[in-house]
Amino acid sequence: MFSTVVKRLLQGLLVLFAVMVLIFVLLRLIPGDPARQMSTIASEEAVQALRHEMGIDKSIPEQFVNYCGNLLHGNLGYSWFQKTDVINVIKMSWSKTATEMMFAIVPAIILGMVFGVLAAMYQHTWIDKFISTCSIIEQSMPNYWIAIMLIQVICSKLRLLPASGYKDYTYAILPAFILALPLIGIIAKNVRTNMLGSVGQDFVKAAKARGVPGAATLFGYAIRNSLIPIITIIGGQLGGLLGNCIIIEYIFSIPGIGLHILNAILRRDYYLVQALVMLVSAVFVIINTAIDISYLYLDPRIRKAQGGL
Amino acid sequence: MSENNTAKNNEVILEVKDIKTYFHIGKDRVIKAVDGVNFTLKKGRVLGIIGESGSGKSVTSRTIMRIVDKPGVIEGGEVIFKGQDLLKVSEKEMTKIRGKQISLIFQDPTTSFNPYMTIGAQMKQAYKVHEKGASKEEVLEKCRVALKLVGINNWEEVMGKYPCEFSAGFRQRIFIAMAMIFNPDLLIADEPTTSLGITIQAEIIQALTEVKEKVGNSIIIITHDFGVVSQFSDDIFVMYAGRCVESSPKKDLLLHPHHPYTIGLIRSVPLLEARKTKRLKSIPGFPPDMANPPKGCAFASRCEWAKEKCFQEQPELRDCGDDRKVACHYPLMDYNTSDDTKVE
Amino acid sequence: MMDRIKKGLKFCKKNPGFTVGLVIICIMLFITLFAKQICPHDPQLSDPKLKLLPPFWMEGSNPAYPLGTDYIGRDLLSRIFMGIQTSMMVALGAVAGAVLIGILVGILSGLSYPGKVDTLLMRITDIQMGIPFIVMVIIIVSLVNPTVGSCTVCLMLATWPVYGRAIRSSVMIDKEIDYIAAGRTMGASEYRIATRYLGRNILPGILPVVPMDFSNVILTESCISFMGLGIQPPTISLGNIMADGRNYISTHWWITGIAGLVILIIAIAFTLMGDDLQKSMSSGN
Repeated sequence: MFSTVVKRLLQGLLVLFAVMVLIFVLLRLIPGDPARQMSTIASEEAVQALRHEMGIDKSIPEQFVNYCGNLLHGNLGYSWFQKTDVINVIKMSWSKTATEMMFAIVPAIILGMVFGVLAAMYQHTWIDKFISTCSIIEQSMPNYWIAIMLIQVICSKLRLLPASGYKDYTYAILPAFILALPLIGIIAKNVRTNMLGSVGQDFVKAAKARGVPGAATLFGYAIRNSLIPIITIIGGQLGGLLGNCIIIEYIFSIPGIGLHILNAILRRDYYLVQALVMLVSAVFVIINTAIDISYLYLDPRIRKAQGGL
Repeated sequence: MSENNTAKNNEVILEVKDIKTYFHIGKDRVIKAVDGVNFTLKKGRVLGIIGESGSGKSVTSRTIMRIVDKPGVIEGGEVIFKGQDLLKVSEKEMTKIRGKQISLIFQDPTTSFNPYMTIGAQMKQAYKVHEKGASKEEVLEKCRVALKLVGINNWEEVMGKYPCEFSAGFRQRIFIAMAMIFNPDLLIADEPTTSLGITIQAEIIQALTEVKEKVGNSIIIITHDFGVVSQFSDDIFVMYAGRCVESSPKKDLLLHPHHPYTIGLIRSVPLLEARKTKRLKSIPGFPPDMANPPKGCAFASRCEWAKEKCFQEQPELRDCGDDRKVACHYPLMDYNTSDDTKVE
Repeated sequence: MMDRIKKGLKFCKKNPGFTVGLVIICIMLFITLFAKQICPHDPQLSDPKLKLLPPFWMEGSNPAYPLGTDYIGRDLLSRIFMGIQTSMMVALGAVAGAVLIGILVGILSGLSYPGKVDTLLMRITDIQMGIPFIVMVIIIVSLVNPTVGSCTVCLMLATWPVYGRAIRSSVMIDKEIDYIAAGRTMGASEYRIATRYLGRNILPGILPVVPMDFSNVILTESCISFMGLGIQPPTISLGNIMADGRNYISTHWWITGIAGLVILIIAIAFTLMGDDLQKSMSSGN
């Protein structure tokens, strides 16, 4: 068990390192001179001086070694555009993105499970059909489109919620709702499939024969057994969710991690992109590793196959 | 030996009258899985229900428990258990009876446990479902006693583990223990040994026998294996195409079967003593299509003694003395299996 | 041949969702093929006198412009037809390319498992899957000049790892099954095994993923175009139309509304097809 965890974590670290190298190289392949971007009208000498100051006049391997050295000292680099250390940008923006994500994931899990269970319990009725149709629509929705349409209706016409910027959690409600929509659809669909699959299984019948009432069998057994697939889905959707954050933050002008990634890429703000993408990948890798490990707890059969606790 | 002890006890614990369970597939296709089954079970006796796969044995057991899956529907009949018709009580009442007064043992112990719960959690749940206010000590004590009943002494260790950590045979024993946690008056074992290896089968039958001797409950054992019923049961009930074809005390049936189908079944059992006899005979043909049953006797097309009447009229189950019943127009009243092969 | 058509029709009858999706996609393909011919107006021609005309169900609409016009008086219907063409072409190219790369990598990797080739290829997919899809797309898109062709390639590069993984695992399962061993004992070459035996058995496995990816790619493409990173004007894409309309959304919501609705319909059509394919695959047909 312990060795499995360590192995997974090491694999994750390896992936992270590779992501770092890849982003480092890719960024420097993007055409466009970051120093030139800073000041389009500056003289050639001034730009040259700036390049030297930024450390981008050296060769890519040299820059990479420097960067790694800084990283080991806990220095993530300097954002030229924001005129501050990268770590400060992260400190300022992470909580906004985290709030959005939490506001999206938690209700999505609850609603997705409720809808999934309802659809399974009322299989073949209009309730099931309605929920299944909704889930397909939710999955196919262009999120940026629904975002601007909802801003029109809810923020401009009805004036219920703020449309852009970020001051407090009310600014996260609408973005989180839009982020949650596809998740709800996917979770509901999978919970439904899983419940229907579990109901026909012998151990559920055995529970019924033992006098566990019908509804209790459904909830107690089937939901528990649907947990693994739900967790897998969330792991799989996490990348998409982080990506959607970029789009949603762009549309709502929320200065969170996502908007900073987008702007940093466009402005060739090398160290900021580097740090933010690595942060996102780290979250991604850590959560997926945690999910892998949670399987060991949730499914004794996997645990047995992995060589026991 | 249990036969002698319990023969005097004539209290009827279960009386099944003309139960019918049909499966409605598609618009007008109906499969009559159980089509009018009658039997009685006396207290402390073991009834063996035997028949080919698809003859309606399992559906009979599920009808008694009222856990027939859709699209199956219990169409009619009575299941009188301790003076109460189980098909008429409310679902809530029935939930109280399931597991407490009647227990069912499933065929495949590898799928009948929830893989995500420990043995202990599942046993405790089985007890607490009916005894909601039970104290922790009481629950544990009940689990210990039940596991001990099937010969499991390291109960604490077993309860902490997950089903996947045990072999199939061991799991089946745990399942029997779980079914016996309330000492139910009636235990239904639905092919309890079919999915197990041959030596494990003997072990499970041994465990069931011990349970029965210690507790003295009534058991219905459903199987397609004459070996199992001949070892274990007091009475035998032969099913074919959703109906009862013959019911009788074990010994009489094995020595003097009356129904041609029973004869066919007995002939197809290999016996150690029967070295010199002819080849094993199998019953020719296939069971009838249950969605489209024949007009007359369902077995007629496979029966070597069938006559004109057999194809025209369905035979009723008739009493022919000595606790024996047979559903045949021309029962073979003096057939002796020892002429054919040696039994026992 | 007749048999196959009959089978296909039977499948469509059994899966109404698939049929609806298929019909919508066929209509979209038709529009893609004949976009130029069916456009009622030149999609690039602006008529300042006819700026921001409303669609047909509103007052003041012009029957010659059923969906109205945009902010410089270009026919919205024609622009949407052209936008559908661009989106469908990008999606077709990207998914076809991704499937091809995926099959190649998957089979190579699965057959060489365990080995260096497999490890290398799988680490590449690991790394790529460790970066969120849209981040990957944005980075690749900013590497090159965004045109229809380069956007297609970018989306393809960002999509293939999923196929590579899926195909690799099914190759690894299939490899253990006896018919591959039987093929080997009969002296079939590795190449033959890869093409004849595996190709045929693996394709059905990824079939339900393909429509899902179509919808994903179409959504992503329109999204990056909307953000101004993807296909650039004057090439028309549904994302561009929406971005153009966004400035006028408070008064003329239908420009963005209709373009988004078209994308939604295409995405739903693909999802419906994928859903039903998945259902019938898992029930063993």
